[in-house]
Amino acid sequence: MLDINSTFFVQILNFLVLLLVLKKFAWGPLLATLHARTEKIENNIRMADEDRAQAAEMKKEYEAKLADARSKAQEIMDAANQRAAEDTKAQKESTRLEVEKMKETAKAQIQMERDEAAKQMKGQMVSLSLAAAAKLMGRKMDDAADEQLVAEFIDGLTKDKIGDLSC
Amino acid sequence: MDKIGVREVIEIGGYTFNEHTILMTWLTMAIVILVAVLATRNLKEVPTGWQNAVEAIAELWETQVKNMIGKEGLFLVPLFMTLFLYLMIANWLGLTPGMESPTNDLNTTLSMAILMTFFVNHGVGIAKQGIGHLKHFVEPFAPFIIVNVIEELSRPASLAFRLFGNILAGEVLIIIILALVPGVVNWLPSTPWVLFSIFVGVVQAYIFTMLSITYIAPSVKKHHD
Repeated sequence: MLDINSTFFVQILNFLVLLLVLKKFAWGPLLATLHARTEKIENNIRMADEDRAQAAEMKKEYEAKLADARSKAQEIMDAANQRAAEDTKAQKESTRLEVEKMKETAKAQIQMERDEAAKQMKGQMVSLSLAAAAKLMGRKMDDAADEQLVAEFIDGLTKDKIGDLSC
Repeated sequence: MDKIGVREVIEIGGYTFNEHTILMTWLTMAIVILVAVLATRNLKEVPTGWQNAVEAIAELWETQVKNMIGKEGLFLVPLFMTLFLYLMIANWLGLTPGMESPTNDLNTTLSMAILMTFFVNHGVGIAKQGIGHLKHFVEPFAPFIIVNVIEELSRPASLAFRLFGNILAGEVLIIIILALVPGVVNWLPSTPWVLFSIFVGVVQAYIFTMLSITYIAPSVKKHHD
């Protein structure tokens, strides 16, 4: 049962033949495929890592650009608001000046009309006074004397006052 | 092995050969080659079927070699793949009715053990380190040569007898169980044992290959010390 005979050497030979055949025709190509795949997977993982890092960097860059764009947009909006505010202020000032000018013009117009009215009233008052005086005295004064008298009376009136009445 | 412990031998030119052992070995080799052909005839980048299974075995031994020897031992991976597949198929062959395992013969197990622990071990050692590889026999100092030689002899003996004993015992037990339970149900108790023997066949092949790596590792690694 425990005999060692020539089978021992045949078995070594058998195994060596099997080893040589398998190594040349089977394990060689199989291990080459295995190693090629391992290398490919490692490369893919490395490339994926690099791509991920690149993507992260690009994202960071885009975020920075986006923040910059937002900031610029804000600046533009602020500038526009400021310009609008300045425009409004200028417009207000212009309107105020125009109003002021209109007020001045209106005042001048009113003064002119008042002066004219006062002048006209003065003329009418002279006529009315003469008529009233002629009626009271029952005689008519001569034109030259009348006019002289009235004119003196009127000149004695102040600019803003006609008799005791305010003008 | 028609009867327990009795082998049929043939004599050729005065040399004795165990006929069944050699025939079963050739059958084992044919099966291993068939598996290899099935696995490698159409190698794909994404493996399927046989390629997947054999690649798993290749990766197993490549990992073991990397861990125990290092990358410098990768050239031995085909040897360990062949050894493992050869022993596993050989161990299983005896579970088929009418057949026997080549590994139930001490000639097979001892030849494999001596091939690994002596020829491959010292062959690689001398190839890597020159004749200086043999100085480990007198380390740490000269008288230790006795202990070292005993250790050197015990390695193939333990490898060979472990495998031989396990496989022979498994097959003997199948015969005994079948003989003890006569009738049409005699397969019933032997079935669990056959299933267990399938497991034992894989484990023994694994242990043999693993220990071979362990014994060979220092011969490859010392070169870099």
